[in-house]
Amino acid sequence: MSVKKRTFVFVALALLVWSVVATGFAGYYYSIYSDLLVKTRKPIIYVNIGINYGNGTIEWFNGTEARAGDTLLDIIILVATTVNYTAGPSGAFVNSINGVSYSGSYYWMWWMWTTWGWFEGQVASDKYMVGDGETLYWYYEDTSIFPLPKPS
Amino acid sequence: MITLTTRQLALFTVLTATCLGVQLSPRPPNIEFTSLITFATGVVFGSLMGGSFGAIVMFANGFLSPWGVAGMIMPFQMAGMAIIGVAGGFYRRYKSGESPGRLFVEAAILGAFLTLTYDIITNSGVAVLALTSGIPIIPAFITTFITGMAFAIIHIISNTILFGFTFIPLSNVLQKFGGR
Repeated sequence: MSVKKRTFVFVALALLVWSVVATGFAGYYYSIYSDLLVKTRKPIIYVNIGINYGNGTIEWFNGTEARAGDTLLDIIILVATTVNYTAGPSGAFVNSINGVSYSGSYYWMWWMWTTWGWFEGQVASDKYMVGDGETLYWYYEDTSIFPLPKPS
Repeated sequence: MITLTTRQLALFTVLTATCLGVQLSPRPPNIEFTSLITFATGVVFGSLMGGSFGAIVMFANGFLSPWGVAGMIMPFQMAGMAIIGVAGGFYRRYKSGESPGRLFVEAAILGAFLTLTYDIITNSGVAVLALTSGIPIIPAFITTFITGMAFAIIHIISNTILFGFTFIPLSNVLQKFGGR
């Protein structure tokens, strides 16, 4: 390959990476900004929180009052008697809720109600800012099952 | 059929063990050395060995990763890393005879491009997983790619720096030790 052609190929590759990353970055910040704008519109928000202990016991805390900017972790600490978690580089890992600790393949997972039904939380609970009127669900479930059982 | 000398086989085994050891060690998310070692393995041993190396490492990583079992994402991770190894095998043809300065820049660009490719493939895997939850295809891909972008940026920047500064010295040492 000639030097000129080789240079062209690598410059094109660099520009391709730059354009994709810049577009993605812009989309990412636009999405965060839009989300933040909607979620901080009112100082007080009301959310519905479900806790499924995996043994048939389900508790609902509908219309829980919270502050705009609160995370899902803040909310579960608000409604549960005890929450034990470990802070890590990717966010908080919830070890136990109301004394029910992770064990074997059973972990505390969180879900969100959307237009398409239940959607598994994509980030740690302390990274998810809760919005007004949202319905969120903590589910103590067997994570070795695929696909992960949704709340019913 | 691939034939290797004892020295080459030993080097390949040591590289596999090193790569797995580093990959499975606790580390900040999306800062990894597997891509670099896989690419260098492709350069030293060729596309087939490089691709197999990447796939094998990600297969083991899928079960033993400190970030949890990969599950359905694993085939996507294996494919993504295999592509990096294969790309290394292609690049070996163009590596010799170039000035070191140029090679450092090229390695950095390739690091960025291959990491982006890997992230697109693995994020597609996450999107496919979201599809199984009943989410329509377009929202599944958009949500996954936007959520994954913060991690992808860290990954791309770290690998650009890593490839740019360490790929040439690493591949030269490996080539001297037991390259094919």
